[in-house]
Amino acid sequence: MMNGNELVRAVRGPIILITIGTLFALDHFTPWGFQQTWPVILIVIGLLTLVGRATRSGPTAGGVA
Amino acid sequence: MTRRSLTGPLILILIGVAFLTRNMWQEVPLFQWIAQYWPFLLIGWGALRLVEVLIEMARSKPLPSGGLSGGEVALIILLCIVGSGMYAADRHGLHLPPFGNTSLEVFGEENDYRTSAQKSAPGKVHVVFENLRGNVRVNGSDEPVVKVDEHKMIRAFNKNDADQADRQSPLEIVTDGDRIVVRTNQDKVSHARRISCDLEVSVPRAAAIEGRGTSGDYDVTDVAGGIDITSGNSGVRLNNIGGSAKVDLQRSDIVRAVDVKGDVDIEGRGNDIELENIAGQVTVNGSYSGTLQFKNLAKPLHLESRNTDLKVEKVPGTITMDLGEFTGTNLVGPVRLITRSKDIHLEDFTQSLELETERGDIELKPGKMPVAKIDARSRSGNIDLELPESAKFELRATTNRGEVQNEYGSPLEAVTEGEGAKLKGKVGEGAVLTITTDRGSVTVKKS
Repeated sequence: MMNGNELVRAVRGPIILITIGTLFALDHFTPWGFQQTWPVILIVIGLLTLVGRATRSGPTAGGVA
Repeated sequence: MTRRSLTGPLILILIGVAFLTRNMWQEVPLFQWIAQYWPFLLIGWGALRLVEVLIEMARSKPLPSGGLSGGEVALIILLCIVGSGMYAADRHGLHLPPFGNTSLEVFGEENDYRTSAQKSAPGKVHVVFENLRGNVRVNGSDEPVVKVDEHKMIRAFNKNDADQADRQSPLEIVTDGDRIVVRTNQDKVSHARRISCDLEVSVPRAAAIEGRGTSGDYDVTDVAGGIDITSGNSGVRLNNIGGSAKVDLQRSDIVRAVDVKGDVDIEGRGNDIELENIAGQVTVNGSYSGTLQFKNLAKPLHLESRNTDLKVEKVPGTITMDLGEFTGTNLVGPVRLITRSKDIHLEDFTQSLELETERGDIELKPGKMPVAKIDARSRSGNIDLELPESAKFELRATTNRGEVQNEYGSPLEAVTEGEGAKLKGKVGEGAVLTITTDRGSVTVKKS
């Protein structure tokens, strides 16, 4: 049986990859340098983790111990 | 059955295509392409994996956790490091020797051939040079003739091969409509053979010159017509040109133009640019990693590169700039300079100045009266302003984190605000000088 959590885990790598690629492309073709935009990667990882927790089945979803 | 991703074979195909391009079309600036566009490889890779995951899901197969294997992660990190390195090298003008470009002929012997040709060309003529490799030197003369002396160099293992290549590439001067075409026919010789032709050319003074090639310098002196040069790897030197000059080079060590009556338009990438005594407009568009020098430009200058946007109405004095520094003296405004990271020194400018740098110190000495309107901003760097004793102005200087130093004295007044400070004041009725730095000190003094 497929669940949302499994899907989020599976797309995590590709989405982070696309984010990094986009930030480098922005660095090359717009004035937004990678040294300015890198925190976006942290935000994306954080969001993915949040979405993963929200979709996790069972009552254990919650904050950090 | 184990699932296999498509990315492995696709990467292999991409690498193959890259090397093939390098070997078949040596003129393609592959290094620059990869250096600039490699981030899209990551995006494409990620998109591909995303599609794979969605397909797996649609087929109700178990999904891979994490989406990327350890090997892939290592490869991605390697790609980021190598890509960033290539990008930095490309931006700073370092170029690795092109791989796959060294043919066996390097070990052969060089054979020289000399020949010359000429054709009468009365009146105004348009002379076109089709010389793939080799230097072209053109001089305007009073004779109504196009005269070419050719020095051909062919690398080959034996004399017979070289002789054959020489016969395959005769020097030609042909009339094509209203143009006279000087052709060295290097493209008729087998690709592997290394051949290059240096041309010494004399043309009627009224001629216009058009040059095409992949490598070799162009040197043009005393010509009254326009100049149009497009080349791969080249240096261009123009001297005493009556018309406009357009130079488009993929890579140049130098573009120098002195005494040009028309407009000068430079495009491409390279190291140094030197322009002096230009009567027309000057447009520079591209990326240059060496020193750029502009002296005595009678009409507007517009320079646009990846990190710098410069507009100046006239340059009676000089502008010198390189990757880290910009110095301008005696400029007619409005002047507008937007740049990423440079120390900026500007002296004697008129009308108005709009200045923005992300990182770098700014030093301004508006010596000419009335003082130009100034709007200068640095995200991180100190700003020094030196005003003439008799100047009339209204100053609004701000640092958001740093201190202000009032060496001008009254009526300027400094106020500390949080981590930053302001310096304000009005001397007579004059232009507004707005100076802002986010991080750094502001100093105002009398000259």
